[in-house]
Amino acid sequence: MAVEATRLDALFRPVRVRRGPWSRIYRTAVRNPLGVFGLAVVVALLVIGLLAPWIAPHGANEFAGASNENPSWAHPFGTDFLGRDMMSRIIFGARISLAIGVLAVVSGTVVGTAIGMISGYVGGWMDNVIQRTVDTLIAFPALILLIIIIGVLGPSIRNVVIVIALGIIPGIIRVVRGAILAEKHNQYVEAAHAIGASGFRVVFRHLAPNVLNLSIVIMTSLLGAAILAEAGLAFLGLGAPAATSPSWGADINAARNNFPIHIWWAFFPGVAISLTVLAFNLLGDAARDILDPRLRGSNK
Amino acid sequence: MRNYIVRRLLASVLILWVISVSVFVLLRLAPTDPAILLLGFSATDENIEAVHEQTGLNDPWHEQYFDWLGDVLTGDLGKSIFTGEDVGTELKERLPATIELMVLTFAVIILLGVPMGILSAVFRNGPADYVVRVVAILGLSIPTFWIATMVLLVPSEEWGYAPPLGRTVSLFDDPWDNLRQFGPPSLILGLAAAAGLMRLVRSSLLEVLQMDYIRTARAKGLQERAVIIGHAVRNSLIPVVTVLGLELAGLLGGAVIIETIFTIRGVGAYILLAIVRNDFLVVQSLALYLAAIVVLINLAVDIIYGWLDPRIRYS
Repeated sequence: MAVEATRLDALFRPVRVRRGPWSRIYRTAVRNPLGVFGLAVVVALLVIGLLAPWIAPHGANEFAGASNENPSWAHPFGTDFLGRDMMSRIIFGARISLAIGVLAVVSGTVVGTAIGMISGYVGGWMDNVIQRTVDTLIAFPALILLIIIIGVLGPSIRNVVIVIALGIIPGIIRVVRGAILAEKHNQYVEAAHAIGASGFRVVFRHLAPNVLNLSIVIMTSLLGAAILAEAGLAFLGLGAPAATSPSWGADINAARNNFPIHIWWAFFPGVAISLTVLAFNLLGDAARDILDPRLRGSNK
Repeated sequence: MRNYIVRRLLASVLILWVISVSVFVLLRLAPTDPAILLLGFSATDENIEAVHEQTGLNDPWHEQYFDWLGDVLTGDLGKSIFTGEDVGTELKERLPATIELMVLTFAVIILLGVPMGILSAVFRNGPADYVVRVVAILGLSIPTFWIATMVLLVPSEEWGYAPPLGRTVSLFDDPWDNLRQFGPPSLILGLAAAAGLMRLVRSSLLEVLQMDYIRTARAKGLQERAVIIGHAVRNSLIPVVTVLGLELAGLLGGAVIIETIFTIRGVGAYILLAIVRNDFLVVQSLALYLAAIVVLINLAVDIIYGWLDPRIRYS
């Protein structure tokens, strides 16, 4: 097969337009304008988050003007009840949102993928125990589980990362296990066994690359949900301590409990969350279309 | 079929047992002592000890666990150590609000999600499809708690309007006020799930429309309407039933947020209150109770499903 393909390739080489990686990226981008939009917003948010102290006109907790101001040139997003500049708070808030979202999803995906691979590959009683645990976690209302654990551990950035990661692990285990079950009867696995590879090596060296795309797709598509979860926990007062680290969700809650009502204060953080989650969702859809051709166009 | 039901029942009991143990252990790991929270930080050691003795917190863990489990199994959900209220009584008072919220939310999800998903699939790549897809991705991106907050804040500032807050209006006493109270939260809570359902119905229907029997139906001269409604939609809704069952767990989580925002006296707001107060017994009883509801409803869905679609039973 391989030899024939090479010969055919050689035959057509003179007439074939060679495409470099840039041209491939360009074509992929043209086909996924929404994905490009998502990526652009995500990159912009990362830059804003990283450079927050230099970009923000004021400090996150600096008293920059009168309280409850409407949007103006001096304060484009208005000010909160303490006279803090909302635009600056939203710029600093990007750090918390992105850091928690990315950390939680990456760690959750790594752990979930590893467990899912082992569960699917080893099978037997171990698979049974893991799958029944997953059943249990899926049966339980996730948000309630998260707030119970945060209630027990106490709210902190680390604990929020842990609970969001825990929340996404069961779903990942299930999907990855399914992929491994479908994959492990292939001949390359048998071949690896035949030349004496250990089970560990077969899983992490031979099977892992084949479920990698799937993991990346799951990971991107979960980022939006993770950022929503972070905002929701912060809104309930169970996120990172609001005094030190401004969070969009916590600001909406603060605005809600403030009197007199100041709508702009609640408005802009919500726009920030929505735009961020939208960008990640669009990116996730694009990643799925590009990396997982089986699902292409199904929009599931 | 009977074997299938028995097997699923046993699995459900196992799941609930694991949940009961996990929630119990989890709450015992909390560094905070409920007695101190109850008495304040100036409490004397004797007083703390007395509360421990009274509430059984001094007993070994396994005794506490079996005492609690025995009580729960006989229908006694225990008492709050903060207010002394009986959890079962409180639950009975709060359950109708949450049930109404859930029923209305499911109505929103189905009435929005299914027709829009069908529209989107039938007119694939047309204007209707784009509108539905944009609405769906926005619905999945905009946080529920933000919409809810804005829906309360904007009318109250602009027009001085507020829905009935803080008390539960019975549907039978005052249907209009009841709808003013439960309509907006159900609509908002249902939006995100409806967005997910639109996408599911769309992809499921697109898949079914590729099937040979659809081509056959068209070939034998059926009108497009009959093909889609009679043949395609019915089959595409099979996965929807399961997903709706699984949706319940997520919606109960959403109820925690939405009930808190709209100050509805429901079970969701109750569990958040108990968690914030570190009211162990209330949290563990409520958690187990909610898990039992979710597991039982999913079991019912699976059984109905296995009965509707014989292919499922044997897999």
